[in-house]
Amino acid sequence: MKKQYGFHVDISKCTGCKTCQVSCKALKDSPAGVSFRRVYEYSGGTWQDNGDNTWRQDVFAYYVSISCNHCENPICVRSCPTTAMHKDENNLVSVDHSKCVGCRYCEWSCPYGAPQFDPVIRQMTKCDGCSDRLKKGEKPLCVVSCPLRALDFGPIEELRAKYGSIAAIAPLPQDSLTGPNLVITGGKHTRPVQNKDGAVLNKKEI
Amino acid sequence: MHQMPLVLFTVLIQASTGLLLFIGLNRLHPTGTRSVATIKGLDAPQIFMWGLFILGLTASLFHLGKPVNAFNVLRGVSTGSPLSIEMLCVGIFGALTFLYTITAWKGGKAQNALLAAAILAGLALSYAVANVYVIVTIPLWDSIWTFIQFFMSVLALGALGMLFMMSRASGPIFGASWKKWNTAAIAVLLCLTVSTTLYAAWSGQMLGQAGAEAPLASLPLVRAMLQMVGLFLLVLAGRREGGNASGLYAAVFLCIFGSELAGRIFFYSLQQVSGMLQIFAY
Repeated sequence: MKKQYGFHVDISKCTGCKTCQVSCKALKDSPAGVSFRRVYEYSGGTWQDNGDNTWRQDVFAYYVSISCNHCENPICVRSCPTTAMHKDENNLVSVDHSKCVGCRYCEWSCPYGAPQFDPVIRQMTKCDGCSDRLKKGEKPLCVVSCPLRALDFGPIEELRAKYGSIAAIAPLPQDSLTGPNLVITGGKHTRPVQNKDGAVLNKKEI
Repeated sequence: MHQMPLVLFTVLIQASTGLLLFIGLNRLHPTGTRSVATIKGLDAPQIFMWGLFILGLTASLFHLGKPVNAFNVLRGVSTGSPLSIEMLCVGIFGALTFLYTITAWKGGKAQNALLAAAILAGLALSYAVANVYVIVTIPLWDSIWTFIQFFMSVLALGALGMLFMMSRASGPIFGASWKKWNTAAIAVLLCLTVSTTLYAAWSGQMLGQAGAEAPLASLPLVRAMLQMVGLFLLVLAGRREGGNASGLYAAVFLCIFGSELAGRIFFYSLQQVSGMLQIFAY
C-alpha cells in the first residue's frame, strides 16, 4: 500500500507572513493570480457588556495557511472529465497536462480552491507536494521556508500521531466532504469549523 | 466573466433540445406533418434547431483552455464525471437528431421512431447539463432550483422557437392550430415567470442568511422585465386574427432568449460567493 502524505499547520505559530506562499510562487514560477498555497486571515470580534457600564472587546484574528490537502476522497479527481486529475505514485493529487482540457470543473468542485487555472499554459495547475523535492528526500519548499516552523509535511499517520487529528477549523470546510490529509494545531483564538463569529478579511489576496 | 461561453452553450443547447421536443409534439397533431415552412424539403424548425445546437457546441469550445484535448472529456465517463456524461449525451443527441433529420428529409419510415429517440436523448441531455452544476461545494447550485431553472429554459425556448417557426408557415394548417399553440406558450411563459420569481426569492434568502451580496444583483430584475415584455407581446400576437404575427413571435423569442441569458449569467456569478471563503457552511 502506497504511503499517504499530508500537511500539518500550527495556527498558534503562524503570523501570516506569507513566506510559504511567496516561496511556492517563486519555485513554481506561478503567474499572477495563481497561488498553490494561500494564507487566509480569519478575524472577528464583538463588544461584551461587563455589567458595570463598561465594555470590553474580544477581537480575534488568526491565519490559516492552506494548499492542496491531497485528500483521501478528492472531489477534484472524481469530477475531472479527462482523468487528468489523479493520484500519482506518491498518492499526491496531480494534474496530467497531456490530458487536461482546462475546463475548470475541478476548480469549482474543490472546497479548498486548490486547482487553479494557469492563464499562460491554459490548463489547470495545483500543488503537487513538491514531488521533485520529495524524490530527493526533501520536504516541500513552503514547509522548509516557513520562518516560524508552523508547517510540516510527512506521512499522514506520523503527523496524526505527533499532532492530533483535527482537520477542520473555521474558515475551512468540513473535513467529511473530501477527507483532507491535513492536521491542524489550533491557537488561542481558533474557532471551530462552521463558526460564523468571523470572516475572511483578505479575500482579494486569495 | 470566463463562464460566458458556458452561458451561451447551456442556453443554446436547451433551446435546441426544447425545439426538438416541440417538433415532436407538433407531429402528434393530426395535421402536424409538414405544418411549417420548408427549405429544400427540410422543416424550418429543424434548421433552426441545428443552428442553435451548432452555435452552442461552438461556444462550448471557447470555454476550454486546451480545445485540442477536447476528446479527452469522454475519458471521465468511466469515473462518472458529470461533465463527461454531459458530453456523451451531447454526442448521442447530435447523432440521433442527425439520423432523424436525414430520414425525415428522405421520407424514411423510421423517422417517427428516430424522432422519439432523439427527444428522449434531448431530455437526458437537459438533465445531464443541469447535473453538472449540482456540486456540493457550491450551495447556491446544489439545489433542485438548478434543475427547475434549466428545464424551464428547455420548455420556454422550445415552445416559443416552435411558435415563431410555425408563424412563418402559410396556408390553413398553421391557422387551425396556432391559437392552441399560443395559449400553450402563454401557459409555459407564466410558469417560467413564477419559477423565476421564486428562484430569485430563494437565492436572495440564501445570500441574506450568509450575509453575502450577489455580484450581479440587478440581473434577476432584467430577466423578469424581459419576461414581462415577452408575455405582453405573446398575448398581443394571440389577438391577431389568423396568427399573422411572425414579427411579434420573433420578438417574443428574442425577449425570452435574452431573459434566459441574463438568468444564466446571474446563475454563474453565484459561484463566486461560495467555496473556501466560507460564506456558506456546508
